[in-house]
Amino acid sequence: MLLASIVVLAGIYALLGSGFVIIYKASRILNFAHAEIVMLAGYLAVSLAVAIPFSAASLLAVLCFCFVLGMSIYAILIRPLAGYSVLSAIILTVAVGVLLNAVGVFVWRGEMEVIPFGWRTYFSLPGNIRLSSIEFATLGIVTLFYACMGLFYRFTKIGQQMRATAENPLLAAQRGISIYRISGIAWGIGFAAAGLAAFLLGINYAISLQIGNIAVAAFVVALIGGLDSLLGTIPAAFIIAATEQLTITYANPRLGDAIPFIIMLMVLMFKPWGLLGTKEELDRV
Amino acid sequence: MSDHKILQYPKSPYLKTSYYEDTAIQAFDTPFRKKCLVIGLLFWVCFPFVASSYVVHIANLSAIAAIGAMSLNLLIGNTGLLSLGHAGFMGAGAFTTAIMTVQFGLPIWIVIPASGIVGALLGLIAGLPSFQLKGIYLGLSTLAIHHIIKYGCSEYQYYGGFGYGIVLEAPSLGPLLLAGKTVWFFVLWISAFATALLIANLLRSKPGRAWSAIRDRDIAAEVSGIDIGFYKILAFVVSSSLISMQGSLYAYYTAVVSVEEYSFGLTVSYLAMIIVGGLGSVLGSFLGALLITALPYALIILAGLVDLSFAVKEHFSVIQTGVFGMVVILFLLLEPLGLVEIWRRVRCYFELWPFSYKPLTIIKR
Repeated sequence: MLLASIVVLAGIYALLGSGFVIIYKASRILNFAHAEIVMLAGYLAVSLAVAIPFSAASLLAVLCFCFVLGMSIYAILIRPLAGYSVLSAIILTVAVGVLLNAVGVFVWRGEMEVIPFGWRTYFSLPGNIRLSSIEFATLGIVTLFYACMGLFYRFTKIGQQMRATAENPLLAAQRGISIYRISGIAWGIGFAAAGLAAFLLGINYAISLQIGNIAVAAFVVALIGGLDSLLGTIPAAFIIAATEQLTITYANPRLGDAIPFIIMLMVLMFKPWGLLGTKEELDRV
Repeated sequence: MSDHKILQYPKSPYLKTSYYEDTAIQAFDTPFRKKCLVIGLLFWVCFPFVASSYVVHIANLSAIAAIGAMSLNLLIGNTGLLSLGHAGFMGAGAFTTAIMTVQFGLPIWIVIPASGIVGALLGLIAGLPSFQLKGIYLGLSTLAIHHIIKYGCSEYQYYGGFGYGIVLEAPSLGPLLLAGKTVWFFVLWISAFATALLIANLLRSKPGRAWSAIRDRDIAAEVSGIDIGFYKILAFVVSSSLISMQGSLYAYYTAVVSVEEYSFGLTVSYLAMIIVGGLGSVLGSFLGALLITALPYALIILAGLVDLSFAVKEHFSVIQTGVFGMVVILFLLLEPLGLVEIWRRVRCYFELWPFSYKPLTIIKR
């Protein structure tokens, strides 16, 4: 039971962390509004799931909404700040988060809601592990997302341009890549990842105002994996999910909230660029 | 002979001929400023006796916020080190106060310096990663320290059996009992002005120049012979010790200490104050603290003027939060240098008034 919950939580953490990483890779901005995007997308998914009975259609609608929201936030708010210090961009994303949070609470009243997801049957695996169909679906979606992102970065033109921009924005721009367009698309994809994660959180647990805490832990996941490494989020998500669940089960739930940050501090002290991140990151201020 | 005569005319206050004159605090150097200072002082003394107790309360909260904003501005605006953990240091100060007064019954003049020492130690720990980390990574390490402090405080509150918060009694300073908004008005604003004086003096002496050099280019600062490790740690220690003492004052003023109050949202509001006010400026910290603290109350007054539907009234706190976010976004996009830049432009306009010369623009990062 514990193992299953760790694996599912790790899957969701990895998905949440990947949103940070995709955005950071393309634009070198850490999106502090991520938690609020997850909350907003979750509530939207709840409303749509009630309105449209077929859940795949509502999921698609949420993803499209998040994609458009990400691109417009980048185009309207982040892009004009190009050239200012990193601090301005960070505080801007924090302020956007505050605004979106207010919008979410105003529209949805901040109540606890669950996304209805039809069938729930249990499967027994060898080794006395029981997984529900929802947990299988969660793991399937996360795996599919990572496979799609891997193929996207490797084979599509936009994906290759995104990697080039991440490696050296100046050279990429000189080779004719429109880095603003690429960053905009990356923001869209990052927000869509947040929307997907919100959907999975909604079917596994519930959507509430406290969902932001989970997104904050995911932010630790992105850092431990390396802020510019998509692959790094997977082992990092397992580390965080396992330590957190074990602490909550065997020690103290309040320590469970703090333990991701203790791990993060240790990682920052000894290996600041994360498990699989690029080392020269640190020289950019 | 004629040259000698020209020198007899009073010198313009804007003509600086020495480094000493350039760095002097310009508060009482011209007759006009002296008059303003006297009128301002009179207004300040009369204010709590004239204004309603609600307005005095807002002014008191602004004074507390100004101390916090100044200390954060010292770190972010003047030294260029990002801290996302100042709510944690403030909470550490408040909990030090709670522990020392409730459990040991110590008086305020021991407790506040002790909170400062606790804050300085935590700042020393928080500053250590700055040897290795820069920018956002440093911000994240301070965020981690904030969560660890918060965990410690919540453990104390839980095992101490203080459900919703630790209640403090009104402290007394010698024969004077610090209770009532009027008494606190003077205590808090004198503390705020003292902090402002301390920071202004630090900024125009050796540490301040070293901090500016580190902010502008750390490698160039190191080449110029500045021990950047020492000065980075010093900035952290001074800043966190000040905000810790401010947390202590805040705990005494509100008389309740609860861990929920010292969340990341508090750090966000302090960041908003220094962005709205102006990075790296003591005056900016004051203006930003006043605006951000008064904003929700101003909205309540504005809402009283128009008829609002019930649904809007019910969720008024959400609207306050939304407006707060909006104000910060607008300032970042339209006036990134903050209120202090608007103030400078207004002043320049009047200084140059009948002439059409464009004022010299200061290009800041």
